[in-house]
Amino acid sequence: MSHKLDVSLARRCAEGDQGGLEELVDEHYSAVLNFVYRFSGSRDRAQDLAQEVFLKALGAIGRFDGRSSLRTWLFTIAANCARDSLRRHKRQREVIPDEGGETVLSELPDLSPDGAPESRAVRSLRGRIVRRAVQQLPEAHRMAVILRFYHDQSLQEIADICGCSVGTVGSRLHYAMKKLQAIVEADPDAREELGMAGGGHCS
Amino acid sequence: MKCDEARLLMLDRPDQRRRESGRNLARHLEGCDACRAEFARVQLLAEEMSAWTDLPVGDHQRRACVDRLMAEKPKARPASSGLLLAPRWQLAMVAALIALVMVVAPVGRGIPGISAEIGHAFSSIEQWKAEGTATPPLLEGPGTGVCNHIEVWFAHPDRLHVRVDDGPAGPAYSLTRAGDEVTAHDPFGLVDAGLETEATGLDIEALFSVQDWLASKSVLDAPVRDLGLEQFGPRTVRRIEILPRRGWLAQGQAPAPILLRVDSETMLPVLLETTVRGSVVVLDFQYGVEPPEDALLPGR
Repeated sequence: MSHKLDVSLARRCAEGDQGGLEELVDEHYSAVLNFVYRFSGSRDRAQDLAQEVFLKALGAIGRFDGRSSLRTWLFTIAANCARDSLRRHKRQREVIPDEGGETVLSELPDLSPDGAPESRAVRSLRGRIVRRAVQQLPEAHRMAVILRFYHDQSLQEIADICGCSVGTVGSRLHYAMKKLQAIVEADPDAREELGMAGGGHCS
Repeated sequence: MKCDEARLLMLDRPDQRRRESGRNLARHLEGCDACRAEFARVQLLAEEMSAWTDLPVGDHQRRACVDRLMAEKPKARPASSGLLLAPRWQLAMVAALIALVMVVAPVGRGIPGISAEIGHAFSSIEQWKAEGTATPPLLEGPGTGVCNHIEVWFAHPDRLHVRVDDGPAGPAYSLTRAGDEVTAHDPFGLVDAGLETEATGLDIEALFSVQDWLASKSVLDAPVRDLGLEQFGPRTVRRIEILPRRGWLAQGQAPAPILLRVDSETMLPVLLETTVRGSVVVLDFQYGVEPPEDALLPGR
């Protein structure tokens, strides 16, 4: 969707056009929900946050000027909402446990592409371990990683969302990858699980 | 192509690479083992992460969201001008602008180039909406239970706002600094509960416009400290010293300074240090910048 179309949609939303709002939600709700979910680590909180993002967006949508895409603009609001939410709920390092003691990450089905069952299992296991490690990253690193690798945002778009330079985004991603590696290597469970599953070295 | 450029390029989405830079990257990778290994790590990480499936979204969720938006519709602002702000913000903005013009004008006359920066800052204010908050973790002090909880936020285009709190039950101190002042002296900041209440009730959507302003004016005179060359270029921080007014602190305490380091590029808080209540260094890693090694106190 071009930015011109985004501006047109934003205008319709600002005028309270129901069709416009439906289009906005159809187009972006899933991405916003999943972004805040991945950042916050909580499925329940993500639902509330996604609503909050859209409400805030609606309040400000008259000022959307198309300099970025509507998706990037929404991610910017979502990033702020998610950061605020984490602060409200204290430290992000406490986030991972979800209801019932299970981690939200382990609930997720494996969407690995086809392949031999064994390699799929190993890939899935590695993916799960890395995702667990992502939740332990500092906020800014986590946000950069999620936006780049899960939501396929470019460095420039991440820079717009986070309000920093492209170089800073690159730096954050670089450090994030180093930290991910360190976290995984320091995690005895991860080492054991990967060893049992056929060894390997995560990222 | 240098390694730094190559590593930045390989992190980006492939469609962002121009054909030529893509070729340069490929050539660089052929001749650089370290970057090739890094590239493999990036690809592996991307692959491992891509398996994190989306939460399914049902029609009922979308419907609920649209219904909620429709219910809130009257509160939405009309699409026309970016200058439409809530009345209290219009007033605040006008007051801030007047104050800035009064303070800045005589200063600007004597400093070459500052007029352009003021112009830039004023154009940023148009988009300004609120402020940002950086909240470092509450740390344990050496043998004292808790140490300070410090928040820094930008409450107005011309003000840096710092709150020091000795813990959940402790008193809070607010330091409001006029943005045009040199921040390393003069403990005459005012406690302003009104501002604080107002600030915490806002969102931080336009934080970085405020930071543009601060970058161009507020900490213009703060000394810059080079943290050394990082992976993607040199990073510098501005070191801002804020001295609480005597009397704001617990009895018997010296007015210990709060040292705030902000990234000179993004103006995000990088590091906060204080010896108030004998606390250890308070670090804010939320923005992902490593602290300088000499900032770490013994025992941590």
